[in-house]
Amino acid sequence: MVTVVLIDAALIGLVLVVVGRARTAWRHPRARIAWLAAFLGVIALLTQGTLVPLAAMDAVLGGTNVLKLVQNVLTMVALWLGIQAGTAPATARIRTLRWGFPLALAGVFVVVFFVAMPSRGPSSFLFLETAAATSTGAWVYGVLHMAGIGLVGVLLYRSARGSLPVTRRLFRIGAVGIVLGCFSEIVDLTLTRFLVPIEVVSALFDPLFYLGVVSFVMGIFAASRTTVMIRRRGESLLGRLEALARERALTLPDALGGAPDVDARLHTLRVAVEDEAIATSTPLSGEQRALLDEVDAHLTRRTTGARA
Amino acid sequence: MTASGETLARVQARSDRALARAALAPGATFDEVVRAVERAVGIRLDVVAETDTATWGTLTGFLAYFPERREGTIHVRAGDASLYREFAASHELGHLLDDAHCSGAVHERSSVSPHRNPALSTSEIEAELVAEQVAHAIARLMYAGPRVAELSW
Repeated sequence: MVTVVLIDAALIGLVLVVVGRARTAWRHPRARIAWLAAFLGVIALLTQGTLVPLAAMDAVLGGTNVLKLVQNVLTMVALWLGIQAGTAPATARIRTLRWGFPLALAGVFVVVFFVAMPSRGPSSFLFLETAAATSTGAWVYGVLHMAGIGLVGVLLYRSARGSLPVTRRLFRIGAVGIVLGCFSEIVDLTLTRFLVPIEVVSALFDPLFYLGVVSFVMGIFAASRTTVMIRRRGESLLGRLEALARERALTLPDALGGAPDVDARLHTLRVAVEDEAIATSTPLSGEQRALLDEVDAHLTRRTTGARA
Repeated sequence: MTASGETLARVQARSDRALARAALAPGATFDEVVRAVERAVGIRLDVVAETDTATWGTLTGFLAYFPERREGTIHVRAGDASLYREFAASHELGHLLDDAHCSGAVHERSSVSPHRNPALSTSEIEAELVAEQVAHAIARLMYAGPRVAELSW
């Protein structure tokens, strides 16, 4: 029950991201990386069968648990794209990402899935855990794909250093949950195959992994909110600075026409205001100086230390 | 094209060439910008924040350039906000990066627009416009470039 709630919470969160960011992704190619990550995450979570029956979806693929492979590949690629969304340069596009790593890992998943488990039985949520009790091939695939996703989880933890502060913490908690979940599943599969399964260990994967995914989704929302806040602050400062310029009857500089965005316009106008104050020997009032200090703090913000 | 259009086009072309010389990266710090200009021009540069500027008037920065020693110093007003000081210094970096900086540049930045300074010749005005345009471009790289963390989600 808890697992279903966690999966559905993450699913709803990602659906909101997919719908809410669709317009931005349509307009800005860089935003499509994050959008695709969320979209693949939605499909991966849907394949868990909490909304659409698992058997019905697997039946489309032949009813032999190939849906599990699809889920594993999508989960891995979605997490990898999530990393790219936070680390790729501003000029990056989906097609220019270094796809070699996820494609190679997906290839290994596919080959091992079919070679190690030629007969997989009817569709089941726990088919891998059940099969691992008697099949070393199922154990090999289970350990391999968990290790692969765990590795992406480690990379996600490392990549979070470039994220906005609150997002960084949530992404790291999410990555730790995902990595520990994968580790617990490897231990569980190994105990199930070669020793005796321990109930507590078997129960660890779902809460760890899906709490990790929920934390990651919360990090996405935190990043989105902070970015909107920074953008609105810039627009508000520009409005106030323009009012100050009018108040001081400032001749707007030529460079303002070529300033492409809010921050560039802010900088150009900020310099012009200071120039005018010095040129006309009319010092800025305390309030006007405080506004310039606010503008400077906004422009020199180092949200993460990582820019490109 | 009008005479003023031609001037603007020339200023733009000179500014683009000057910026390309330094090969600056978006998000660079001011120190990294100075080092990049040092490498591009092949001189050693120091930026000095002057405290005794009571007599500077409308002057916001100037460049002292010693070609024979391959050295230069940029002087700015210590009392100005750091962002404004860096802009004034970037104007002088613009002069250094401009191919024509040795002929026609006064190597001083005034808070008064060069258009409103009757003492400047046409070529001096053009050099000032180039330096100012380079300074704006440097500022955009430092402060107004896209931040990956704000583009992510």
